[in-house]
Amino acid sequence: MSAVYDGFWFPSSIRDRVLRPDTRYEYLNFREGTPVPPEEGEGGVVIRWPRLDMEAWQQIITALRSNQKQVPTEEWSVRLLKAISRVQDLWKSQGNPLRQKVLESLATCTGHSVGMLDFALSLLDLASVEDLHRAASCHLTQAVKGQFVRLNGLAGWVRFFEQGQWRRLMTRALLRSASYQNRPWRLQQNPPGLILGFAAGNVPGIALLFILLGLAAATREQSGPPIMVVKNSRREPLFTPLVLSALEMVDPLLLETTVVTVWDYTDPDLQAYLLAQADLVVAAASNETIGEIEKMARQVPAPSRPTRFHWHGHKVSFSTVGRECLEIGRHEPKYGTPLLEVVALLAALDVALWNQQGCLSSRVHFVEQGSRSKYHSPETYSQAVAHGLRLLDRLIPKEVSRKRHIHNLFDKYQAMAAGGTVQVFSQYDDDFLVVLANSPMPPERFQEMINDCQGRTVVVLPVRDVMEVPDQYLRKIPRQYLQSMSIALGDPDLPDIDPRLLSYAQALGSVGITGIRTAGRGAFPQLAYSWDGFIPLDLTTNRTKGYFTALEFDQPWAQIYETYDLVRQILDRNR
Amino acid sequence: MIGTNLPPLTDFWTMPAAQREWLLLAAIAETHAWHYPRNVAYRRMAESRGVGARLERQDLARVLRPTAQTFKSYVGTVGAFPQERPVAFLQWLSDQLSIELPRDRWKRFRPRYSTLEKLLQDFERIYEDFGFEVTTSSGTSGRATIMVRDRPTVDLAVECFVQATLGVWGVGSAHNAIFMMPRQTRIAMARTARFGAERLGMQQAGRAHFTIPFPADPDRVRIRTGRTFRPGWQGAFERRIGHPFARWMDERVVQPRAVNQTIALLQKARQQRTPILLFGSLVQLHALSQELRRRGSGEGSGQPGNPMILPAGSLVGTGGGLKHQYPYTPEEIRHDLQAVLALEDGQPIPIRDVMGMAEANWAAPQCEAGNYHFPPWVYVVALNDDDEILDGADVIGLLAFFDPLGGGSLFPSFFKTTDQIRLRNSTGHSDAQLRCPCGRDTPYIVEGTIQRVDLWDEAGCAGQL
Repeated sequence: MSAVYDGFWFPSSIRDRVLRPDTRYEYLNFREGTPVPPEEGEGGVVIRWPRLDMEAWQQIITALRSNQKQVPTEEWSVRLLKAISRVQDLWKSQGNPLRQKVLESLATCTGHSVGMLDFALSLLDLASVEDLHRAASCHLTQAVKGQFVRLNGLAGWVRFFEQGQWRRLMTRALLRSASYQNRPWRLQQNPPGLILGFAAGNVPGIALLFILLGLAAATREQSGPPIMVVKNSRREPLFTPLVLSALEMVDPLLLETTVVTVWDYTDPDLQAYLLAQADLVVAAASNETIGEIEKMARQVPAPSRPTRFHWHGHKVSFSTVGRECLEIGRHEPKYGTPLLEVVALLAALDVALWNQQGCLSSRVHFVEQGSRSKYHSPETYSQAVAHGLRLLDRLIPKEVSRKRHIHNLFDKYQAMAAGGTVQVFSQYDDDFLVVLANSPMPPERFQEMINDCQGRTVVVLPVRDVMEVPDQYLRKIPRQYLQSMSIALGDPDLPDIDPRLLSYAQALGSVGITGIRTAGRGAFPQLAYSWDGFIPLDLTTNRTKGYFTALEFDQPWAQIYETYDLVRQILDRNR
Repeated sequence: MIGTNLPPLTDFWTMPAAQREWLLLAAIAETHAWHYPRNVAYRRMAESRGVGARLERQDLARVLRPTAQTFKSYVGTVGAFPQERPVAFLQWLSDQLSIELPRDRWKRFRPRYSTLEKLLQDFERIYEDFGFEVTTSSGTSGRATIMVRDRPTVDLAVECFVQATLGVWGVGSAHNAIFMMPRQTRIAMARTARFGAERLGMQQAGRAHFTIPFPADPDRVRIRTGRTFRPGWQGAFERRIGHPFARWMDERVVQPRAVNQTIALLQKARQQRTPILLFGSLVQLHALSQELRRRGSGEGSGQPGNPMILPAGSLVGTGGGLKHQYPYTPEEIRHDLQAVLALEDGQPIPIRDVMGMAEANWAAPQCEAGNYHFPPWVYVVALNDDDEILDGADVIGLLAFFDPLGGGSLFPSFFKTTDQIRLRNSTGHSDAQLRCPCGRDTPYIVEGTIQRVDLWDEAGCAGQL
């Protein structure tokens, strides 16, 4: 017997109108994270969604537009925050009878283990919806184009990097004037009436991220929240409808303009219809899929106002470990754990979560070397990362292991080790791989190593100074592929951001890194900050070409210790 | 020496499965024990996987090396262009081989070579007394596997080709062999075919023909494939001039000439009423079928419904699969071929495929029933996704093999491939009920089940650069 779940979510007003007893559904069977034919799906999970014709879609859009005008927006943000907090509390309560069942079903669909999903969802508080609301209503000055500035009183900093050499030069000249710096950056308001989303399924809940962003953007709106039509992923169709169902129970009116379901990319008439309705298209998908959507969008007759696109395609992320973390004798204050072990465990977490199937997972750890008498060596760091990954392998194992992938990489790097260019720090039977590479490394080899870093494979790359990272390595990678950097850098005795860290962040931003988080939080981006160069404000405004880079913290070491404490508690509970 | 306790290869065809397994397991253990202390790369691999000098049965899967990496690993240590670092290449090669390459000869190599082919020629010349034959994979990925064989292992490959491939296909010295391949090449399959034709006396009798008129050395194949170019100005020249020219030559000169010569040879064989073995890659044979179709009328040479009639016993052999995107499937290509070539009795010409790879010193030909038969002296298994040997006489998994004789004294020929297959009667699990309808009692791959495995399923935003 298989459990059947909805891979779609409609507000009740639309459900009642569109879904009838004779509505036909498509079904998809999952086992071990893979869609399987129905005859092989016994005991797995079945996901269904309605097969809608064009007439039904037109009814849906009409109904959503009608809802948009009628939905009450009073105290929208307060209600939204309250509803999300309530859902988070419900989820976390140990008495929640559905929790284990949902986790098991999610594991069957996604191929991520129950342990992994439980661990990740236990740390959901790290993504603050309150901050998201504040970020959506921020006001920026011109200073953001030249330095990291505060984002509406939030912890952390943001900086805008303009595109175009002449424009950058001109801005740099203008920024010499203090009055120009303080001048407001007037952005052209362009609130979207309808946001069309395309969500990938490599990591759970991407459709939900779109919806939360859209709903938060609505806080600036007087004319009602935007309509959100989101294409759910066939690969992970379960999570978003489940959370929306829970939110609906708390405050159904919040979701009156939201629809999530699955439809075919290959249905050109439907795609054209939906693209023609959209003011903003948001897509998190493979570059190939994005290319297909873009191609279709170009063929759609121009709507009354130009459609904007926010693409989130193939990306890679990294970690940086400053030499301070390797200082011999330095410990974390609460447990007295050597700082090296703390940082290595958190850096390992950034590798292990989602098994590097997502763009947020760290692939290469840049480690800043110091003198051997005062600092631990990159070899010791690599051993500590291997130890951390071994601990996490027990806590958050891969649901579907397929060790062959790791074995092939293990063999490849063992063969390279013969030439002295790398050392391997994991064992053949480990379900992960830790490789220490010798630097400097030619760009082609560096790119090949980045591509190898999947399925919990990490390359540790020593550098003499962290500034080599942007200058010698990241600059060689096309900017559109760079995403985030997890950091453990700067003097641990300083409560605030070390100027060294700030300079490094400037350099990272200039080469294209858009999100800078503390070690251990790589997989928990704050929605309030930059996602691939877009901040929530970008949903409702037009601006010059360029991208935002965000430092998502104020006190890096306090945050690192806080994350370690959380992880340590979970580890201790599961010992 | 390895394999001295084994009976002649011909005996394996009739040996009971249980006896064969026992003999092969003992030979695998012996091969391991012989190479372990002598072969640096193999020992390093075995040690890293926790396997010592003595190979236990439960550790069999742990000594399988990936075909996709082992003899391509020079790329990671020497670089993609060994001709630029001959000494580093020799060092790498020394690690791969279980025999000692006298180091005092290294100084006879030049500091660098203009091509890989020249380096390999010098290697064969300087170590002529070893009788080395360097073969390569087709190199369509841009980085060729480089294998070293010696006389005994080349002899074994030829023996296997004659006994297994040609034997299963019923091809003998009475046939005319037309190979749509270059005579001068290091590609293992073509070399083996050449030596096999010599062994059968076809060559000497003027009945073996190679219709690709130009040599195909690794450098030319690399440039034509266009996936890897040398750095600097040489690479720029290769990319902008060499690659387009090679493509143009291939499309406009090489292929048409090969097709024309093949047609001429087919017509001659037809007139002489001698059966032919026509052997080539699917793409080349498809070009032949299209040309025969284009020629259409006259002499029954290919018009649909009016195919070229070939003497009884003729056969088309294919090998190598489709290496790159091609607008036709293998089934469509076979259909097109059978539309233009037929036997005297009106039956479509039989088409049989052969599975092989540069790293393997064997080939698995398709029998009359369509299944691919391994030579019975190779221990064949399938692996699950965790690289464990699958139990059962009918399993689906990754093909792996232990060929205790295949690497001779050079290296242990224990490999896991990148082909997902349905394997019946693997060496350790024979079931008489599952014996191939053709009657041969060997491990075999069920027809239509060979799939190249993608190492990683890429999706969403986790990108590749």
